[in-house]
Amino acid sequence: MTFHSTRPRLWLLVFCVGAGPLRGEAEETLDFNRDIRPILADKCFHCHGPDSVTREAGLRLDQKEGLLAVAPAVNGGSSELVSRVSHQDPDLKMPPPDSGRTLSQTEIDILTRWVGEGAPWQKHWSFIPPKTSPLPEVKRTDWVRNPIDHHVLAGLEAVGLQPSPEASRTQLLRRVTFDLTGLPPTLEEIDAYLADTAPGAYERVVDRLLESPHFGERMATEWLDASRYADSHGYSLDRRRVMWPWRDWVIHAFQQNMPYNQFIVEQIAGDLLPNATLSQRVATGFNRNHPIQSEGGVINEEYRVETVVDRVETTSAVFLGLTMGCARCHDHKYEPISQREFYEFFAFFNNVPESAHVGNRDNDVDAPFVNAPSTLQDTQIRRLESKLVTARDAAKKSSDQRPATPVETIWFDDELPPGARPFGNGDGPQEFLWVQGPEHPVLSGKRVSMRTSSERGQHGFEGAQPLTLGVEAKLFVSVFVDPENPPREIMLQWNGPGGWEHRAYWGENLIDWGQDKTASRKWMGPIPKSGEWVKLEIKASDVGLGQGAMIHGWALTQFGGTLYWDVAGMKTLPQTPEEIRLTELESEIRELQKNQPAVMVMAEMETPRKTVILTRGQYDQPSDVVVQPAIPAVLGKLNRPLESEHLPNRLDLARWLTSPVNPLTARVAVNRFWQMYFGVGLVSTPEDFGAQGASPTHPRLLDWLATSFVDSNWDFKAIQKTIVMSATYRQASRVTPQLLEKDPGNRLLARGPRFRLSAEMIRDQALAISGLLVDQVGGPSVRPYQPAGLWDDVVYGNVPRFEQDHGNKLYRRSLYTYWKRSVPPPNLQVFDAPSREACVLQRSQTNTPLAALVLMNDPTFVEASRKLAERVMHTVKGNDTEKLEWLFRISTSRRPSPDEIGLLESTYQAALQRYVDHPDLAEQLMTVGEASYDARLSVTQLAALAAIANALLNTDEVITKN
Amino acid sequence: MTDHARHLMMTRRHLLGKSAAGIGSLGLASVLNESLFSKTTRTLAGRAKRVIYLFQSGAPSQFELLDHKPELEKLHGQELGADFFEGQRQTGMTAGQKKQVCRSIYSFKKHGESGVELSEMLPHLSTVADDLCVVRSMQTQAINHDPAITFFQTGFQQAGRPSMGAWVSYGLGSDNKDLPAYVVMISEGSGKRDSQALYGRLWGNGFLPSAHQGVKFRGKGDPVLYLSNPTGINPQQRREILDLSQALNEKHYQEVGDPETLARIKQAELAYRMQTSVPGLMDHSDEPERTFELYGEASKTPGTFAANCLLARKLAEKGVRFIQLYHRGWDQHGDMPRDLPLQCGDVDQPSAALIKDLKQRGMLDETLIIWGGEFGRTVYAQGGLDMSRYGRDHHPRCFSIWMAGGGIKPGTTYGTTDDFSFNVTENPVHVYDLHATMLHCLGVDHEQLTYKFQGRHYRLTDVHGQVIPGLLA
Repeated sequence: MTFHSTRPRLWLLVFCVGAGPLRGEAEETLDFNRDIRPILADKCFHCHGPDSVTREAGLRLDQKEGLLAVAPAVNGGSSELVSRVSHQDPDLKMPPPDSGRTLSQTEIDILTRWVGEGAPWQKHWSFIPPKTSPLPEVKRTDWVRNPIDHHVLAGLEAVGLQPSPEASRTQLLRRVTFDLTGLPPTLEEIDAYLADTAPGAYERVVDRLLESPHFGERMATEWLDASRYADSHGYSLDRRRVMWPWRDWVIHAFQQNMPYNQFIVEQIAGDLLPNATLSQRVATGFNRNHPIQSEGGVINEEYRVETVVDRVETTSAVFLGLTMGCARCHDHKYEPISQREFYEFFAFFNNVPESAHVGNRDNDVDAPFVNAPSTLQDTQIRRLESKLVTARDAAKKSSDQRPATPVETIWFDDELPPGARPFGNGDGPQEFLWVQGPEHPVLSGKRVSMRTSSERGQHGFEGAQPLTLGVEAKLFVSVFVDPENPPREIMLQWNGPGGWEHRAYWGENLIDWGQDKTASRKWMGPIPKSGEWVKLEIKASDVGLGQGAMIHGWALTQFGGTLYWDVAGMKTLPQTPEEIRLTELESEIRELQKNQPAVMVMAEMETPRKTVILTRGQYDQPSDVVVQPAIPAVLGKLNRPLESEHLPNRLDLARWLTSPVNPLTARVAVNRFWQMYFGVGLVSTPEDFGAQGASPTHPRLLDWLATSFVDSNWDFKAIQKTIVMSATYRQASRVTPQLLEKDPGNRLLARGPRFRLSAEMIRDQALAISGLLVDQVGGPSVRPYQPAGLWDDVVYGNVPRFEQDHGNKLYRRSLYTYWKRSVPPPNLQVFDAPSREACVLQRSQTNTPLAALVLMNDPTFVEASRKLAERVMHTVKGNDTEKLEWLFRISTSRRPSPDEIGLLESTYQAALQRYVDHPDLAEQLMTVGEASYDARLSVTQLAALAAIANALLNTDEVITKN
Repeated sequence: MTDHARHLMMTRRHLLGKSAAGIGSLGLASVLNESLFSKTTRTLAGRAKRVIYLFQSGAPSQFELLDHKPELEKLHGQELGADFFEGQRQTGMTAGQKKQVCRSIYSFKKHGESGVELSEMLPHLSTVADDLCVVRSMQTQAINHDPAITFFQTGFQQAGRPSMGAWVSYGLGSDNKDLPAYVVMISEGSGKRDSQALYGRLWGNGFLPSAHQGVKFRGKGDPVLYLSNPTGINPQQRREILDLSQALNEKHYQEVGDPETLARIKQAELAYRMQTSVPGLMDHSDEPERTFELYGEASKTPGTFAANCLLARKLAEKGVRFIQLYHRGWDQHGDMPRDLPLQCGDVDQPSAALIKDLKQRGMLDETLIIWGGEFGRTVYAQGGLDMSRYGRDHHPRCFSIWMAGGGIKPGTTYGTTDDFSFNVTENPVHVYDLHATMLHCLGVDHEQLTYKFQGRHYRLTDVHGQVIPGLLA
């Protein structure tokens, strides 16, 4: 038997046995990892694998020693393995008939042949670090553009397939524009590309797209699924949360081409980096994107454990392509990961000072968190801060010219300052009591405030437009003590940077707020003289209010007695214009910083929490086995300095994840990139590179991509460019009968990718071509159209109902759509967008009637159809045919054939006639969606064109990446 | 979804595409052979062709409805000490309070020839007692609503697994051409405004292909999301627009040759058919008056539990495989004397009507009906022992449900609990066992209905579950 005669048979076999590995690289002999391990893993490991509890006869076939003890033929005789799997006696046959597992004859033949070849053993492929192989020889060297193509072509040639011709220029432009920006090309971009006939035109397009402001958004969309990002906490209450600053961090990182290793390190352990920046801390929100409970009556520890488990599962799936979750309850059935190792990994994420139970109000956060600016705020703050040094210098220099006489600013007299919310409490009136002369003493204006109480009584206001304290400021107010009934204590209080903790008092020390002899309760002297107006003056610095501090509220408290107060304000040395400028600048910065949302991040407890193995994974069944943070032994050891004083932490983990010796991280990453372009990864199970996962179709290509990615210093944009520049990527996607028969899943890549656009792309395309898209990057999530009442079944108690946004917020890109885990956006979910309750690394691709209904009837798409009609009427001055051609072209990026334009025309004429007969219908169509329509245009023509646009948006070609 | 369309979809994406290895033995057969799909892939001689699950969200009390505890008359008011609980967990809501035994204010009677014992609050069900199988020994794992209902629907407390309806759709496929295999309906309880959330994941497909997710029929607005044409596009117009899309699709198929395009054509046609078939089903106006007499006056109001029960019967006739109703409002921590009669008023008559209606149509034997909540309630009162306002906290260690039809033993009371309905004393039925038994009635071995995902063969019953022979006819 020669190799040439065996290979085709092996191929045939591969196509028939669905579970077998499909290979796109020419192979000569049986390969342990490709051909043998999958059979053993699926049929034998359950009883002869890593799980010590279910292991039978002490035999481990997942390890070299165990397997080689039974596999090789002994002394020229038979092999125990072969004899048992082919045994006729049901008592001796393996797997046992009652196990529910059987080996096919083909599988038995393969095992037999492998033993015959000497039973060569290999470590599982993905645990061996990737290495570059020499490029394989190929015949059609003219086709090859880069090393990707060498590997792909060699595989095709080995089975006698040819690559497809290059896609048409428009198709290629459309494909790469969607792939790199998530949006279709504009007509101008198409025309420019078609006009650019000089060599390198395609590369120029790719370079332009890599720098497009939409590149970061497109790449972030994939990452949000992996990171289970959402705008709500999940579980039953599912309240609003604010994690979008983390989402904006991701967009920014991709846009700026942050090296991918840094991208990983900052998300896993940004808080532990030396002198961690705010941005690096925000990045760690990755591990706080999990759902958080807020149901009454939950047991905190139960959910804290779930949270940590979620981190282990997400981190191991996303970065390592390993399904560690199985080892939570017992040793892993298929992977060499023990339960102990699961909890050692768990220990990395177990030291967060969190409660795993979030408060019961919208936007509540579970500590730890940071206040993080949005990109816009950040830019503004940086712009202002850059002026600060100059402004300070100028202010300092100008102080010599300051006049020495103080000036008074009155903050309030008869009227409270703008924005003030008055209040009162304690004994006496529950608000301001204004009185007038002549029955009462009045110092200034027409009226004064008065209070009589028998014990503690207070009134004041808060929330007013602030008073900013100047140089050497003194606060003043005048009081009139009733000689008949003097209060025992008078206290003034200001609402400033320290809340209400700024107090001064006169008389006895009866009101016990704040801390005595500090700025929160400072004694100023005895009760002022009664029967006359006395001006009380307080040095602002005595009550903790420095220069530039802003106060928003003022309160006066008295203990007993009757007291009047009038005209209050500030006495300060006048500021120079430069000082005023500085004060304004500082207050602007403070205002911006104050409005920054709180974002949940990772942090470490000072004393690490003790991690123990949980019996059967149950939070309430801790064992007494204490473990320290570590990685599973099969993956090696953390490369940390020996003299490290601390226990291994997340930073050590992150450094190991991104170290060149890590066999998995780069492979797992490039495999997902590949999946983004081709629909399926080289490993078709992106979350599982373990024994139960799929084998790579092109292992050498995968390793080449992984090693060149690492060698490029993890240059994210460069690897994307390499893939889209390849001849493999540029092929036409036509499915020939021969290809459909030989390789229906296109795993060998004899044609270009063809699969449905993602949910986000389908909606964004409709917005973009209709001219509705608002392409602002980042910021709080928005709530575009959705059917009424969707949240009613999920909201509980006082959780707010859905409130639709209006105006620009209806037309933002879909990654900014508010994501409520219990009710994901329905028009995205129907196109397989996940709920984001757990990490998803590969969306399914379904095709249901519900999706067709969205394209037909969702106001999003109907409104886009009529705005598209309006756009064509504004843009194309020619006849109806030209208008229809334009509609077709903007939807598909190509010009219609005569047949196609004929179809469009006949439907258009019928629609036009109907709307001429029923202009009320046309008017009604114009009311779908909130965008207005141009009433100067013919409404019947608009409606008929909208009908055509609606048909186009519901075609396979428009929603498919060709 | 039609079988053929499903077949195309499954063929391309799941058999030959990414996860050929992901299909368990039963599911694989259904994909490979289209004719098997509609006929099911049963390995057992199950009697039931479909399930109607009447889920009572919030957890009705067993003490007031199905598990008669006469001893409580004597024990009423007695305080339960720490030794009684033996370290069993309690929710954060009553962990700190005094636990006083609380009797039911409703009386029980034996009914029918079988003598099944039911509360006076269930007068209509009492008339079909001989068709019921009351299970008093249900057990679950979780003590709070979200994990408990998620566990009940998916066999796992954390979100992400397929729901039982999705499993059944995956394993048995659809029996009709114009409707989804798995339909969900929700009704509001009269008894409580503040009801627990019911979210898509409870009828989600988890990691199964999304064609298996439940499709929610709504009582308000569009019966299926986005079903109605927008204003300004009438049905004739819709047909013409769709004809244009389809003609372009067919040309495109000639051009690129991808079978996925054919699938899309079929799905769009099904969508168009649903635009008429679904509203037709939801419209009960052509039902004779005696139907409304049977189901009660509320069945004339769309979106009520009664209207949904009637719709469930019509869906069953059309061959929908898994019909899930959720009725909200059973979480009676307090004010049970006010709210429980209102809830019973919502569900008692329509539930009994559904049994009678299916029986007279000869369909009860092939339709498995299950009625019950996500856990039980405590023997002690939450808050005080004021019998005009009392309520009960959550209790997962035993609770009651009832079943009927579809291969279940009629006129049966199964399992017993102690005097406090605190522990099961005989014949426990765990949620896993209920799932296994339900699948068994459908002719499916719960250990063989598997799907491989992220390196593991998953089942609805995880690694647990036993068929309970005592429940079977």
